Amino acid sequence: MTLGTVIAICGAAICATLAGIGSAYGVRIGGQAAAGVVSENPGLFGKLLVLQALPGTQGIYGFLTAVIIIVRMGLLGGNPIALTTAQGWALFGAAMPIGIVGLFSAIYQGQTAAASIHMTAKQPDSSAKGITMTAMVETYAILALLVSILLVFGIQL
Amino acid sequence: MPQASYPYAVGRIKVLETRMLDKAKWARLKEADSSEALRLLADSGYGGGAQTGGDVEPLIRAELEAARQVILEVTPNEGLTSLFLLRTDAHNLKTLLKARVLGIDSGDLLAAGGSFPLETLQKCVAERDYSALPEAFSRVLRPMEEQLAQRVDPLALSAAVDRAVFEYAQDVLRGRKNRNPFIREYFTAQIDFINVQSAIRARALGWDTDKASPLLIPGGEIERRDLLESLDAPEEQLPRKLGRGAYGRAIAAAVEDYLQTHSTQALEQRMDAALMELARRYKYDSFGMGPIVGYLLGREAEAKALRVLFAAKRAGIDAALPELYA
Repeated sequence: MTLGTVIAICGAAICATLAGIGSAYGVRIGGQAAAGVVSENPGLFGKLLVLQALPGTQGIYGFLTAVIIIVRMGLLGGNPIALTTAQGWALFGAAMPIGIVGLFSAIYQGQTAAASIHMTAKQPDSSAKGITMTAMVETYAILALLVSILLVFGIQL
Repeated sequence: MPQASYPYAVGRIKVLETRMLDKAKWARLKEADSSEALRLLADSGYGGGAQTGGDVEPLIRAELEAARQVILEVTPNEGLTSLFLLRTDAHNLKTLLKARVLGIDSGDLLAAGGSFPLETLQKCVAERDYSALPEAFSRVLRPMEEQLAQRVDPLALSAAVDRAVFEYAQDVLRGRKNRNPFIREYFTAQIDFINVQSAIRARALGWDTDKASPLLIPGGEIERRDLLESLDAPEEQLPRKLGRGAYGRAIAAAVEDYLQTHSTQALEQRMDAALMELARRYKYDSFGMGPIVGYLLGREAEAKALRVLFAAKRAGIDAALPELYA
């Protein structure tokens, strides 16, 4: 296994890990807020579930990017491409946008989700507004995902 | 077991806020006669099904007790939250001290729901030993007891208890984990308003600086010098002299109200309104103490308004209700 391959594997692992940590944290904040509301008003569970789940998408994006990198490297087929160091660093760099943006955007999205859950607690009919506001934070995670995917596919192996 | 986190606590509080009396309920209560209003209040769930016995007080007490219990249950920082229960401790300490001095039983005048167990306060006052309470209480109340042995001055007694309570609050706020801008601002503003009320009362009684000085509580933004100088200053200079600090504008307006009406009630109403406005500013903080404390203050304001409303109904007069949270 070449140094380039090791660097690319590290990139894939870091991107899945950072985005996953961000999502876990974001979903946790949303879950705490939802638990508080549901403990007093169980009827709102259905409306709050979507809001709590929204920060979980960054973890999926990180996982997706890591899988694409792994597939492109041929790791799944048991016959990995011997990447040069430059190619390894290129794949590592390509994985970073969704890794880093995923980490922070999931945390911020979790905070927005908690605020929206609190808004829904006061005005149950406004849950759709809360979902829209929380989903706005998602925009930047999607842009980062696009950049990562375009870069991963743009690198000549 | 509840989770000690702000998102959880605020989530519960936001649902409980929806059970507070809203504008429509207040309008119905105002229109109804006393017994009908009491029935409406009990039917709305206020008081959690407590027996009224024809009086609103059991409902108010039950609702306040429930509010205090819930905020202590959900708060991630019990030390900070319990500072807002010190008003009850101050009331109980003053009642116990005055009852001891007069040789009477404090009985029903004591209120539950303070920061410290009622039994502890009773034991401290009976034994004249405050070591079971935080250090600030011993620091302030020990000299007060020595003074009390020589001469009974109810105003000095009340002032000493207030000072002990605020010095304890400041000791707590100095703690590393308790540097909370909302609560610091709240207590600083409260000290300023109370000091201005003390200065205005001392001025009305014709007191000199030596007599008025012990009434002033340290920790506010208005300089002690300005407060003491206001005792002899011409009336027209009072709003400018006392209207200092972050709440200077509200304090100046309160002093102007007082100068027109010569009623200290105007000062108290302005203080309640300013503190309620401060609580409302932090109402939508999903990750802080604001909504938790705001809920308690809101319930207390609601209780105060209900007492005013029912007293006015009994007297057959119209009364302006105090500032509400919602």
